[in-house]
Amino acid sequence: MAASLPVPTQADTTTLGHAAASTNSTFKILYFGLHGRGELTRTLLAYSGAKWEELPVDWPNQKEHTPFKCLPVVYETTQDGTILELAESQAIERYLANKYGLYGKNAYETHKIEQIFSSADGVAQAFSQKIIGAAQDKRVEEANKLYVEVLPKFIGIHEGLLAKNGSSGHYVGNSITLADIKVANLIDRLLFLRPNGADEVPFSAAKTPNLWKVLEKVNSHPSLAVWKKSDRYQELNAGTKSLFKF
Amino acid sequence: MSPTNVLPTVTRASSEVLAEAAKGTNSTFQLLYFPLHGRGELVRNLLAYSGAQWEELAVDWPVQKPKTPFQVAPVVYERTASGSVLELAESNAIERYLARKYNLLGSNIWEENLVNQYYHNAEGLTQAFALRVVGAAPEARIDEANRFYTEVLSKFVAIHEEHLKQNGDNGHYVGNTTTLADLKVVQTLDRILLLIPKGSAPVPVSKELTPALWKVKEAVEGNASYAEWKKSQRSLDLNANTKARFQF
Repeated sequence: MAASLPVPTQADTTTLGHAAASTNSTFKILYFGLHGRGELTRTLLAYSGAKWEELPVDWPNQKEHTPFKCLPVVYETTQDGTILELAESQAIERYLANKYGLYGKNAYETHKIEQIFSSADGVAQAFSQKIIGAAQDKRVEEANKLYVEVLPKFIGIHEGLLAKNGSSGHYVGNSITLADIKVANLIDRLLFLRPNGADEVPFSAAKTPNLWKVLEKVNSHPSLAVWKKSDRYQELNAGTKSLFKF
Repeated sequence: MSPTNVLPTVTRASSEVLAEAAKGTNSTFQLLYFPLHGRGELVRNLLAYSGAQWEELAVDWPVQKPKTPFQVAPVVYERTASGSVLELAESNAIERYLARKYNLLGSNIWEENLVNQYYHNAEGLTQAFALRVVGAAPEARIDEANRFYTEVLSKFVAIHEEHLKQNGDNGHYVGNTTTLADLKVVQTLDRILLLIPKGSAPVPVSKELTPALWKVKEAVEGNASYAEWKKSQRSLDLNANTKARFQF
């Protein structure tokens, strides 16, 4: 039996805009059984403290019912019962960040957060293309190249930015934002998907103290600590390694 | 007067002060980017579309690079009416900042989300084009372009034509005014239409094949300062430089 999807409420964008202001929503995420493009969305849902669950994937039957024929898609049921359909991982991430106070206090802070996000995303994409996308027998070589050619520059710049913000473990102001979560997510992914036989990933408390503080602050946030210890998270770890053949 | 290569001095102040300064829509802008479209194209389009006064800085990259926040370009320096100089970096972040300032992000959190979803879907197309076609060896280009047109672009346009029809086929992705979504998609399609390998199949984007998307393009091009920019010698030079740089 095809796993059916929630039906988004049809209404004008003013009405949906009012519904979207809800901070009492519940969520359902449709994404495959790995971290991939769903990782940051799941992290943000876990962070939010909102009630959320995963929908069973039945992709051949569900694909045509998604806005862009790709995943993730998130269905939000707002406090007034409206069902909103969220698509495109980076749009979903910003929407959740905005809703849960992770997007800065003003347009200037939002811009700073977006700078960091974009910078980290560049590395995430390079990793995805060059390492995950590499033939298995090339992985070690490509990973070592990335660690030596791409990461040191990223680390140098980001350690500097974090020092300018007082080495507090935060990129912007003095609380967690989407920037912190995105960078922590990147470091987690690089550490987790180190090909067997590759060099050490150059992130550590000693080598990258400010970045390590960001990682620790994010991972020790109560709702995120619980999420990362959960059975589902371990399943996603295993699913990620399995699908990408690590 | 030829452009300067000296980067402005950025104002150091709290984010509250800078945010207050950033609110105005009568800032002037200086853009640091190389003389091709690349990651500067949409930033230039947005600056032109906004009607703001803007100019390009001369590039002297070895000297300027260490002074930029992420050692990449584009960087945009905004001089606000109160005299503060704000430093904007990372093309996506700059685009979103300008869009927010000039009311191109929709009028509520839901509309902003819709704008973002079209923006990021189009970004996926841009990246696929860059990887598969621009990144192909010149001798493989025709095959790669043809495959891209049938495997990727056709699917994109079909999905987007449908979304645009659901919004009333009014030349806009969200509501009935131009947003960053419109500008992003138009820029993406413009790039694909500019970088056509000689001898490839026709690009499946046109007034006849993709009428709703074409309406979006015409709506954006109907903006006077944008149209003037696109006709300018600098814009034409950027077209030529982009083609030359990537051997098209």
